Amino acid sequence: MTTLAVDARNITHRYSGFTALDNVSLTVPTGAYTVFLGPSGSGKTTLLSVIGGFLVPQSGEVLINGRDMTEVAPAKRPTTTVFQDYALFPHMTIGANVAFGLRMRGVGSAERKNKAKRMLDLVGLGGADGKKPHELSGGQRQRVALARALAVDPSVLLLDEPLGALDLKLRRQMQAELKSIQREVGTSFIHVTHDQEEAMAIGDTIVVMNHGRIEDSGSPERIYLKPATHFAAGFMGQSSFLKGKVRDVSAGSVVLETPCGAFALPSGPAAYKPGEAVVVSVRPEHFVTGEIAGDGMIALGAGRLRTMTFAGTHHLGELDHEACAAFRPVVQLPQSGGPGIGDTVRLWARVEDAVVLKAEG
Amino acid sequence: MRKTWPMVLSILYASAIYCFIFLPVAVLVLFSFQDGRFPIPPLKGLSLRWYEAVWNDSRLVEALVNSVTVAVGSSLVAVLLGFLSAYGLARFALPAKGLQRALLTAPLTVSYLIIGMGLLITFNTLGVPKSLLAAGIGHVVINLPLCFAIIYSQMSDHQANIERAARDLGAAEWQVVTLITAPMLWPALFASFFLSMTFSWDEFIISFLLTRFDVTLPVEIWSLLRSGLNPKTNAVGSVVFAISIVLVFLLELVVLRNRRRS
Repeated sequence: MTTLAVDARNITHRYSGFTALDNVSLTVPTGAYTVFLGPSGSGKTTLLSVIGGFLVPQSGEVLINGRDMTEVAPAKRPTTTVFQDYALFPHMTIGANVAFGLRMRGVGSAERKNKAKRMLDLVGLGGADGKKPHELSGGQRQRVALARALAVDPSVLLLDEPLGALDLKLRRQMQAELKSIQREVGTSFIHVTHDQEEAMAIGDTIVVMNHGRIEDSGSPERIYLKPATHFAAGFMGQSSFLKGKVRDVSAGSVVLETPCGAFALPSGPAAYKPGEAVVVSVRPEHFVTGEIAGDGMIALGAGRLRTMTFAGTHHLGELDHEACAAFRPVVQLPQSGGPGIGDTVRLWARVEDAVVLKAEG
Repeated sequence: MRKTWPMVLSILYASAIYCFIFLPVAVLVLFSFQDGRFPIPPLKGLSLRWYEAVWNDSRLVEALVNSVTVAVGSSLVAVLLGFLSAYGLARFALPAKGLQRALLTAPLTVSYLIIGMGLLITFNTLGVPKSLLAAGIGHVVINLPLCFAIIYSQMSDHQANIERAARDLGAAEWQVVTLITAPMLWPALFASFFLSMTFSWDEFIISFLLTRFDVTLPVEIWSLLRSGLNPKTNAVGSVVFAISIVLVFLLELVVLRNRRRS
């Protein structure tokens, strides 16, 4: 049996008039990089606080390395947290900051200093141990916070929107470094973010949250290509949604009735009933344009190209659909030589690329 | 040069204001150097004999030592209590928080005379004799609200997060307070200590009501004044003033340094 770094069971927590966590259960495997992804108010930070011990949930339990930690204080947990505002000790040197946890554990002065040096080397800040936090840049403080949290060898490291305060370029760079540091130390990392690109770039597993519930969890590829819910499809990357109804259900597939006609799609893990409202989710790069009907393709009608956004490697075009005003396909178009604004474009998608999902709200 | 006249008027006005504020002190200091028996014009020459007289007056020197003792002792206690109450109110969920905060700062609005009389009656009832200790307690009463207000205003949510980080790394509550909270608030603690010192140092009415045999310097000066003006009172007044200036200067130094850093 593989060990679980974190096993959260039926966690519910309400603030006055607001449910932050609604019966959430989740497991985090040891030694992996897990990302909690969701919009603000989705409960991802609350869940992190529950795991870190800063919040005792109203119901449910948290097991860390198989032991019940639900009501254990943060100091007594094998977890440490990297705070969004870094929360470095402003009156201490960088070395003393990183060694603080070891000092609290009664580790001798010489040994602490050595360990602090090694940790600073690990995060690429070797030689900075004599400086004070206010002498460092935002990115450097971020690294110090990371070194400080890792210095006590936690079994789970919690990162609360750690890159939120950095500019885009530094963010991308730190993402790569965080991942390589995680590989090097082998500690389980749990990272909270609202940035789906960051989540995809960094996570072994992504947990998509919304309204205090887990919408989907799995590898970035699986969530992107076969999202489990309408919300997950919309939040992880861009997607166009065509509304429809289930007409017929058979083993492994459903026949849908949509404004663009009827077609069959594989049904995935969810079970559908005839008459149920659904959406068909198609990623911009999964639209096939032009007159190329063929096997394994579904016809999605035609639309007039309304706006074009240049994205470097390609254009993104937004279409007004001819048959269904509520369907606003966003389609990836060629970098050059493609259709222009006002042109009518016929749309297709491969059966295996279009995903049928239960409609939401 | 159309703006010359308004400029001249502004300068005159500002000078008049500063004269009004500082002339009494300047006169006091000037005539403490009077080479004669009366601290009134004309100035007969400059001499340090009255400072020597202060130094040789054992009652004055004793009162000065008493004043320093009361100021340092009461300020330390006021800062400690102010810090603890600020920490408690800022970091924990307490019942009737707003009311407790109001009660802690309320003595700021009560006159020293009322506080002194109240303490005098209370100590009489309890059988606590008039003493420097009683006066020191009085100074804690007047300075605690100030220390609380200064320290409380400097406790931010960002610091609460830093304390959380310390707890997360294994610090016990007393370690958080002594290793993280107090050092982070160092400038506020320092500022409230020196402000308390300044107020305690030249406080008269409470000390007058609550001391008897051992008295503080302002009380001793008051009894000197009863036997008439003489340059010695000016000299000791100048000493009091000089020490106040030093305290205010130290305070400014701390506050300014802190501002520049943040």
